[in-house]
Amino acid sequence: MGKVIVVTSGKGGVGKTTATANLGTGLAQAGKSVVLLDADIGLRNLDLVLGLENRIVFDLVDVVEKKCRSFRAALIKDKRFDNMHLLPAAQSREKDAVKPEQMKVLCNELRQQFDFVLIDCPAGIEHGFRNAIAGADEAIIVTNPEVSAVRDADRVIGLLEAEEKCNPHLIVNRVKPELMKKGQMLSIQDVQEILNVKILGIVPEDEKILRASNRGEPAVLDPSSRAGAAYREIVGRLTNPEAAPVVIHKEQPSFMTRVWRALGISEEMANHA
Amino acid sequence: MISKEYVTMKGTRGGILVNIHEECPFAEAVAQFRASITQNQALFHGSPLSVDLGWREVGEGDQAILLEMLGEMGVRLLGVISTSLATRRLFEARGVKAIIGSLGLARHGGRSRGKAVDPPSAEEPEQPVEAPAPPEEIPAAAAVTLDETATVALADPTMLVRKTLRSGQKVQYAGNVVVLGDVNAGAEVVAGGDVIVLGNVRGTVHAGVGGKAGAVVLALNLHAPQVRIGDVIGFVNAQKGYHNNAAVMARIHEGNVATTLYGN
Repeated sequence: MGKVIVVTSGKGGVGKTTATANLGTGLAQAGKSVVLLDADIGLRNLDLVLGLENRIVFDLVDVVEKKCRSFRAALIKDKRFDNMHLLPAAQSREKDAVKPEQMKVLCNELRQQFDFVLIDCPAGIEHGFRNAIAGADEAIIVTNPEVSAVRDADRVIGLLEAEEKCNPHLIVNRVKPELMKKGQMLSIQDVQEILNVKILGIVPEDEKILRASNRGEPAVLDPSSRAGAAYREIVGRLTNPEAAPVVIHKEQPSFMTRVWRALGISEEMANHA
Repeated sequence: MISKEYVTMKGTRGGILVNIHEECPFAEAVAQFRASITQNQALFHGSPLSVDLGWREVGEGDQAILLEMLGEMGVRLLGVISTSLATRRLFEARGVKAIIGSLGLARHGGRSRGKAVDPPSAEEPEQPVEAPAPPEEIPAAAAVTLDETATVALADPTMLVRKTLRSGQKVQYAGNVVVLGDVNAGAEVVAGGDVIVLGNVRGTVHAGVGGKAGAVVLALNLHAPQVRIGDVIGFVNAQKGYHNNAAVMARIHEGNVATTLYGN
């Protein structure tokens, strides 16, 4: 029996789809059987980020409306891993095309066949959100260290707690340690104090994410990506709950910066030189 | 013409509780009430009756209509429940017991005049904590004199909320509210009495709804931009240093919300 985890946030654009793609790929890389379910009907992105958009034949709405034989017909096997599949959303329909009860039934079916079912939740707290959480056992809340994102995450956690559902854990995404040190970005402690849920991982801001999305190759596969490294750690924690504690990956200073530091010259002076 | 239900009845251990909707014409509600009594004669003559007026402000004329109707039908009125201080005084003056009780059928009134604030839309899945059922028996209270107001205030029911209120969650209660946790930004506490938060207040707190005099807000950490007491909204921006990391009490002083360090 597998675990059904919904990746949600409230606020849009914080990194839910990126997180779902990376966590799914990471879990597959670790040998687990995974299905990724895109619940963002009408604005589907998960297929793009995985590079699988050209292979879509049937989608979630077709499955629910029984236009195809079963969910198996709609599953798309990943390009790189045999043990990972995608169930895409429909692009030309809207979120009310699916009901929460239908999602519950589908998740129960998927749970029998896979170790992990990851659901990419749409932004918001309306019908799409309620569809996505209906069949889930656990929730991963993705947020940024930024006031609007944290406020919306608090709202979502409140909604989940009110239904006594999902045992939420937090991923703090797009973290810039330099800005945090300068006090220009909310610190992890600030976020913890407001949200008061366990942190599953901290993912730094990384330019390589953009390239990864455009190419359809999740960053977790790139050994040189800091965000990828963070996602690999989170995957480790998902597969082994007693794994290492959370650490922020700091940017490795450039070669010249290290030379200046070794010589005892401050960065401002070096830049004027 | 479809008639609306302005009056609902409920059987409780202490007798019959009749709720009268706050926002309908009172005379019509009393007429429906009379009809209900006629249909359930045995019930009404056998059990004590309490009437819940919610936040409706009942004037002398309306009070007369109600009491006359009950007198005509031969129904004994045990007491009334009302969140409006003026209404309670009015009934007590006529020798009818009155207590603060629950917030009644309709939406909670956001101002002391009882005008309703827009409720959250029906679609929102938020879970406001519900007020407990009204007390089954009206406690024995003689006509309240000014000297006894302190004792009556102590007897006001208090709700204990044993968790942090997250954004979008709302607690409303006719008595006092104590929160063992934080009130996060976007959360609301609305109380007829005092509001005491043993944690951080970043959300909206409204005490003294319904006109209770001397209502206070107490917080271990008051970060919220505004505090509402009764009719007054105070913008207690944390300009003064002592607002952070110190227990603060807010109350009305000369028509404004004033804060003082608590415990000093």
